[in-house]
Amino acid sequence: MRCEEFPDASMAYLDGEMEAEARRRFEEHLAACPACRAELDALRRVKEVTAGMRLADREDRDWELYWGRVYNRMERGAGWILLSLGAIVVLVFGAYHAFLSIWSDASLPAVIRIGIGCALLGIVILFVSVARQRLYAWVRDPYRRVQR
Amino acid sequence: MNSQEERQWIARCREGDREAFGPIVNAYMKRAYFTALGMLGDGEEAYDISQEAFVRAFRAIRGFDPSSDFAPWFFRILRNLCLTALARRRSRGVDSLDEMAEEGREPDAGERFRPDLLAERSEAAERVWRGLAALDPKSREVIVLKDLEGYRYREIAEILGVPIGTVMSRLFHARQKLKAKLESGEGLRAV
Ligand SMILES: [Zn+2]
Repeated sequence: MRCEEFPDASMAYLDGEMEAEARRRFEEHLAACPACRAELDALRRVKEVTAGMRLADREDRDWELYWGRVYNRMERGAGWILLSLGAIVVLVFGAYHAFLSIWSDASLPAVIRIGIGCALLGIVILFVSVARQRLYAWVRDPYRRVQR
Repeated sequence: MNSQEERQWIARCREGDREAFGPIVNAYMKRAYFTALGMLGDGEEAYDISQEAFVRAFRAIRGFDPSSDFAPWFFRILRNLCLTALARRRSRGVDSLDEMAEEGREPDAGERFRPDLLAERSEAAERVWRGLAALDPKSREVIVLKDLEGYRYREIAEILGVPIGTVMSRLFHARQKLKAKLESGEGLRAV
């Protein structure tokens, strides 16, 4: 074994992931190379402390409730999508019919009809603009993209 | 749960069966939580983000190749959520631990990476925990997975989605960085 192989070999050695034959060759090199020996001792001291540390587990209750909480989130996510889709359909349909009925109502003065027509058109433009912005933000959401 | 059972549950998930996702979540929840905790150092945030990762995985399950393994795909989603959360912390004006370490300041262990996240507390362990907090997230996660969580190289490779050789070299550099942090003090003092 050569010193260049030390990084990977030292890890496999310390973590007990080395086969007997590789182990023997590594120990042979250590016996002959004080530099690698010193480096290994230093790394072993670091590993000894970190290997003795444990992250605390959570309460059992948190694990018992875990799946239920995930399930609720999944369900709510689907609920929100359906609700927004439904709301869009109702809004567009309602606005279109309101516009038609006002536009064809000859009893209203032309100015009022034009005014209400403009207001409804404005609402639709604003709505489309906000929806587009939301869609744009969603497309660019870093959460959405799943890459390495 | 063996991999054949896992495949059967996932096939049902892909047909839109939400209940079928339960066994998958139960099998992976602890690994997901501790992986997130190692990256974020915040128990509540890790609990929340690990759940969010499952929700997103289910939502994207049709894009998952059912002939491949679920774990690497899922942990990629989870780790991306964690990295995004870390980036957001930074952009929110909270000093990143890396920046603080570069400037020679001690990370505020009171806020994140609190010592009560350790199962057994000792002065040495708390010092190393703060040293880990001061590492970059990629170095930290590989040490947490190997030493604090005790995973084998094969399992870590699966979680990180990299070859075993990469696990070894990341671990080597991470341990060297941690050694340097502990030796140089940086308010942490040597082990
Ligand atoms: Zn050598």
